[in-house]
Amino acid sequence: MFIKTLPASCQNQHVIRKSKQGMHLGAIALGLCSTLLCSSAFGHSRWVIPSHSILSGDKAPMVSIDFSISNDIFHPDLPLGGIPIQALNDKAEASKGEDQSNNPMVKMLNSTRVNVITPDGKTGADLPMVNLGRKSATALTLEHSGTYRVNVIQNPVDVTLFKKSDGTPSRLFGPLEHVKEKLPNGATELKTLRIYNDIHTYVTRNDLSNKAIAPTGRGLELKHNTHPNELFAKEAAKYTLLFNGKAITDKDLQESVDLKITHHNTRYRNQRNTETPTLNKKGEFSITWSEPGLYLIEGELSLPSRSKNSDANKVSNTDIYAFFLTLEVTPQ
Amino acid sequence: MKMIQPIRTIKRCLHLCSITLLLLPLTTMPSYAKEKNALDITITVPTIDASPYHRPFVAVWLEDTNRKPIKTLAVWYDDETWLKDMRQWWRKLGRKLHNAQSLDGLSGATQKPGTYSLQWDGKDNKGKTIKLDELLLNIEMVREEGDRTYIRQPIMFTQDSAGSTITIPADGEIGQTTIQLPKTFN
Repeated sequence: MFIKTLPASCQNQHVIRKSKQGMHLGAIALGLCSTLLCSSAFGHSRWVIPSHSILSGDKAPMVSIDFSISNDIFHPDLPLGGIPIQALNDKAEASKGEDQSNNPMVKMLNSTRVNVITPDGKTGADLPMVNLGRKSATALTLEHSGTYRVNVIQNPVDVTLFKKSDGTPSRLFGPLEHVKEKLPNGATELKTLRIYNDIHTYVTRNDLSNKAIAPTGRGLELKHNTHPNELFAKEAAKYTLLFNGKAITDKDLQESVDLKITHHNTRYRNQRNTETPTLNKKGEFSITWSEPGLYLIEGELSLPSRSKNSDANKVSNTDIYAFFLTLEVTPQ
Repeated sequence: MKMIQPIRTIKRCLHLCSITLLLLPLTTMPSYAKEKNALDITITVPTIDASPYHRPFVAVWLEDTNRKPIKTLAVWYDDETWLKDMRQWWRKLGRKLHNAQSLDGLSGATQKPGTYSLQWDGKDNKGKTIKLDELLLNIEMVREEGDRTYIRQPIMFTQDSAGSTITIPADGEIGQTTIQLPKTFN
């Protein structure tokens, strides 16, 4: 029997998370702290996987969507929010008081939403989400023919980097005003990072369409010169890297960009075999898919923050714009 | 060679309505000698010892040498949900035909193992006469719980090849294919 809707308890977008989950997420946040590299905002990749990216037929098909934070592409490790699976059995638990945690990482995870851009280019309603412990999941019914964009949206992540009095590098999650009282005495070289994460993928039912794949004009993103749901092994796909809607042609700006392309199943090989394409003068790059499967394209751009920080410590502030795009490549 | 009935009704699974199937009768019809590009093609759905055995989905179509689609010659399937599994046909023609143009006359239900004849009259999807020195014949067969085989065969229309026969040996999910070129090219 095919159930068309998730249980009612999942559908309520306003089900409040219990504080226990806050603690659990707090533990996750600690895990993130210990692995996040100073040089890069990625310590962990974030990704979204649709169960199907190419569908055909007259019936409106359903697609299951998983998303997670992990180093093993695409094996889930940490959930990205959603209603805890335990709560599905326990509505009383699910409706307990809101998580009051002041942990910024928990707040960020709790801010996660999933929405879709439908083939007509409009933004649909948020999808209900379940937290399955190692990953979060949702489902989407493709009512129309054409290409959908699936977005996992989160609040930006704030990180404060500093050196302890003995010179060892350290970091705290949260904006400077939040972490100030937690800074050890004698902390120096304060740096704040604000990381904007854009996690998305595309799914097409029947004929391809272009409205949902159009650039948004915000942050770091790809312009698809090859449709994301028509990718075949041994063929080249072409992209233009944009920042705020403009191709990144400036040499200095190009040098502030990191691009990584990773094929699935890193868990089952010893080399990550990450490709790092280079941009040409027009801000374009091309990738020839070596084999079929799922690929994660990660892009990151670090820029001095535009927000004025009047702090007397001469803090350097950096904004990091990151995207994580999952693409499915088909055998010939 | 098996003769197949020109018209037959195939009973599908209960959840699918039955459709009327039109396949060209297998006779030694003359080639469309009026056209430069015309073909008689014989394809084979091979007997495969598998349990459970599902009849394959089949797509046969023509492209130019830049892989631009020209025409679908046959699509045999029993549920549109799985049309996408004929990946190359789906990307080149299926997606658009699905919405823009009926496949009637070209499409039919899946067929049991045997030999089937297809003819091409040298015209594209819009009925325009094609005059090219080289074409690509594409055949894709996909079997549920089985494999997928895809072949792309270049066909030259030159004085040397007039009247010749191309034979493609059986491979995987696709049985032997023969392509008969017209005796004269106009």
